[in-house]
Amino acid sequence: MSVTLSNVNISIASKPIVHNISMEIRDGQRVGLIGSSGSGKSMIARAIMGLLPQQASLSGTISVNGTQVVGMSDNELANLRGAAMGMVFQNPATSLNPLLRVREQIELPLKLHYDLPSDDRAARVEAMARKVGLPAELLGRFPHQLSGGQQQRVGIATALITSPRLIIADEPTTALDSITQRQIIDLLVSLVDEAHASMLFITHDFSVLAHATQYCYVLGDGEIIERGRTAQLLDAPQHDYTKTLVHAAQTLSLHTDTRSAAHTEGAHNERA
Amino acid sequence: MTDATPHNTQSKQSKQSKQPRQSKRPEQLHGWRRTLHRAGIIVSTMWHHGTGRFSMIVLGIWVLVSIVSLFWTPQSLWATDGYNVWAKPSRTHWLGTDGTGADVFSWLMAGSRTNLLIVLLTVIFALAFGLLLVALMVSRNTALAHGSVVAIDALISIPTVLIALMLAVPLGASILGIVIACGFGYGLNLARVARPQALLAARSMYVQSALSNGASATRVFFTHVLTNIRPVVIVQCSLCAGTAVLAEAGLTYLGVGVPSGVPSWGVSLTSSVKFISIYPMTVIWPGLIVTVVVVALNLFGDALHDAADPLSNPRLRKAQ
Amino acid sequence: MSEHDNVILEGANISKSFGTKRTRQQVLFDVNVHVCAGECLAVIGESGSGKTTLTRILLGLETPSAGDVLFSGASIEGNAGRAQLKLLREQSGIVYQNPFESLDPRWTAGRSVAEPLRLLPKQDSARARDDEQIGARVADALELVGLPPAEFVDRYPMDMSGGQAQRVAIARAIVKNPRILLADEPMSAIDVAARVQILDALAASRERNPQMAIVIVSHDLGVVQNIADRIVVIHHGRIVEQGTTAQVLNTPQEHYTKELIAVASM
Repeated sequence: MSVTLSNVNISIASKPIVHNISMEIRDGQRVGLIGSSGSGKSMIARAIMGLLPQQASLSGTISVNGTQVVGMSDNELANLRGAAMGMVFQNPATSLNPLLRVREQIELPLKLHYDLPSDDRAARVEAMARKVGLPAELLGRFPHQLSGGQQQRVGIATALITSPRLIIADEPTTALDSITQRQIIDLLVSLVDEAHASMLFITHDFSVLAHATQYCYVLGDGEIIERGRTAQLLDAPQHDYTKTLVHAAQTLSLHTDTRSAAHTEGAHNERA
Repeated sequence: MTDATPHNTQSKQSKQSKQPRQSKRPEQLHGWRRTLHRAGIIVSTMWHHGTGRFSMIVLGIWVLVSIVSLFWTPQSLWATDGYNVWAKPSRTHWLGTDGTGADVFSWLMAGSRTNLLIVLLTVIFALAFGLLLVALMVSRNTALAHGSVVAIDALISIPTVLIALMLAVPLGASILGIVIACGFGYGLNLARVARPQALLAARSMYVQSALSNGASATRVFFTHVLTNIRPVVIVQCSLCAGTAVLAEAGLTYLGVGVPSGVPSWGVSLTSSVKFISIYPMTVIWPGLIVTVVVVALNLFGDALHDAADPLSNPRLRKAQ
Repeated sequence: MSEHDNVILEGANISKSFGTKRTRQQVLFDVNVHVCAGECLAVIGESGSGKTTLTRILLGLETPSAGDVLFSGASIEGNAGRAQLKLLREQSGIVYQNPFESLDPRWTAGRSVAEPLRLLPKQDSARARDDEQIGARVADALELVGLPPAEFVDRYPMDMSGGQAQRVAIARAIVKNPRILLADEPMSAIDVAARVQILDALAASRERNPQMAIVIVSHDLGVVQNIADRIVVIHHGRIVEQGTTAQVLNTPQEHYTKELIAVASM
């Protein structure tokens, strides 16, 4: 599914959050949106989903497969959201309903948007659970009985159960350990590619984008300051802010060539 | 009305002391100067909001009238004009006279100081009692914490009126009865309402940090916990003050409040309420005052809550 | 790699279990760990590995079920160790994971950073005498972590970015020149771009106070490679690998360590 944003402005309580954003997510493309916390990147995701808070005002055009979503009624938006879009949230511990078992959690979007016999639903939930690597015995548990990684797998299964054409992942790995982070990213990428869906991946970490996306946009001070292929941005960032982001990602990840040099006495003194 | 001038001089003072030192010494305002400066900001923030300004004007008049009434009232309280009972408002009796021929306006004026005293004492009592309970409830001694929660839930079910009636046995009709009954009831209420916030603060990482640096539990309570429950406490105190004004009128009517002969709004109400169908104005005046003052007290609490909390008042965060 | 006379903090045969008899769960199994003066030790592991519990025990914030913690060669456990524990509290600083939880939201940065100084016992030589001295040391600490004091001393946490707030927390931890600094996942709640600033702040405080030992807890090898001298890897409550940073990163022995290295590479 393709999504195009042109000249989008969002302000909350008359305080501008983002201005003049233009972005494009093509069919089957994995696109990254990177920026620091508070830069408005989550607001862009919520605008696409039609989930902006009450006091927010939105102008510009957001077209999903050629249909303008800005100004749509709540009902139309809900239908579009349920069938065509899925969202994976940052903190699975708070985005899952604590009173629903894993099975009910994953089943909920199916119940809301499709009219299926319950056997069929159960079969789909089990198939989805297998796909995201959730053992069948976890389906009867409550979210608090799962580890962070398992919770996020439930979040992904819930987002993907309706086979959406666009998946929006808002910092899906920030709350997780490093090994789990990598597993979740690999899982998301493989599921999105397998379904030939599109993905918008929101993060503050370039090293995550390197694995998850092909193209990316850099958001600084509410504006898109740089855009390009992810590999290209990583190799040759132009804007100062992009350079900072790339430098930080490189400093904080291991390289085979610099690994032996990294720990030497000079390494941290030099930067300090 | 009483606040605009002091605030201006304060900010001038602080600006003078601040400018030359800013460059080398960042933490420039200390102790009472800093407190005054922040108080000035709080007052001026309240003044800039309609409800805050209204409440400050009403409460300002109240305090002013109370002080003036100590030295002067239009007519002596005890000068009863036997030929002029239930008189209409005139140049000598601004709001007329009551059934004994006493001047209604003078009695209301004098009554305001009694009510002010009752409100102040009640709030102080409720505050001290309530904060003591909060301290018990967040203590790390679990038996004490749980015990106090149960005790508060049990005690809060006793009606304030009942306590006042029981206190009337030893005390008779007295101001002290109102203060204790009301302060007790509202102290319990304050503790219960402030508990969640207080617990949040007491179990927070910043308290853990303070404890690991060697802070005592008492110190933590007075620095971190009190600072963080202050907004809740301010609102509770204003509600308590409003309740005290209402309770004074109610309990006085029941005969267990302010004794007759002592001027108070409740006494003014009680003495003429029997004749409300014939001479309504002598009842309406004290009733109106009580209503306006209670509304002003509640609005004052809300305005102070917003103005005194650095999280909701950006001017306070930008101070200095 | 470490002269034993230089060891400042040592955990010997530490085990820890939580819960009652029926729900008993052991999180640490006979762990031996030490840190020397001036050294930066990284404790690496996933959430639930027991790494945070271990460091809390080392700093005397929790008592071990078995084993002993020695600060400057003397035990801090039990009644006999009470004086030593008090000494450890006075001479250690802690940086927590999320600065917005570890800083009082209604206190200015200046007041938060000054707090450890005001809590030092009266007879302590490091104690500042008056507001003037405390203000100077607070300003100095903020300066050191890269926050201009004039701008930050009166600022509240809600008006700061995560990186700035965490540096205030670091300033609070180092303001009394502690002999031990514990940083418990100091970067995982912070934007990647700001993590470099946290590293810089830690490095600067190390340079200022070269004898200070740092214990940094993390789940990310990429973060600690820049600062750690030695790495201890904890998995399911046991130390599975330890050595100098170079040893662990270049010649990892355990499968688990290799996995950690793989995911920390870009």
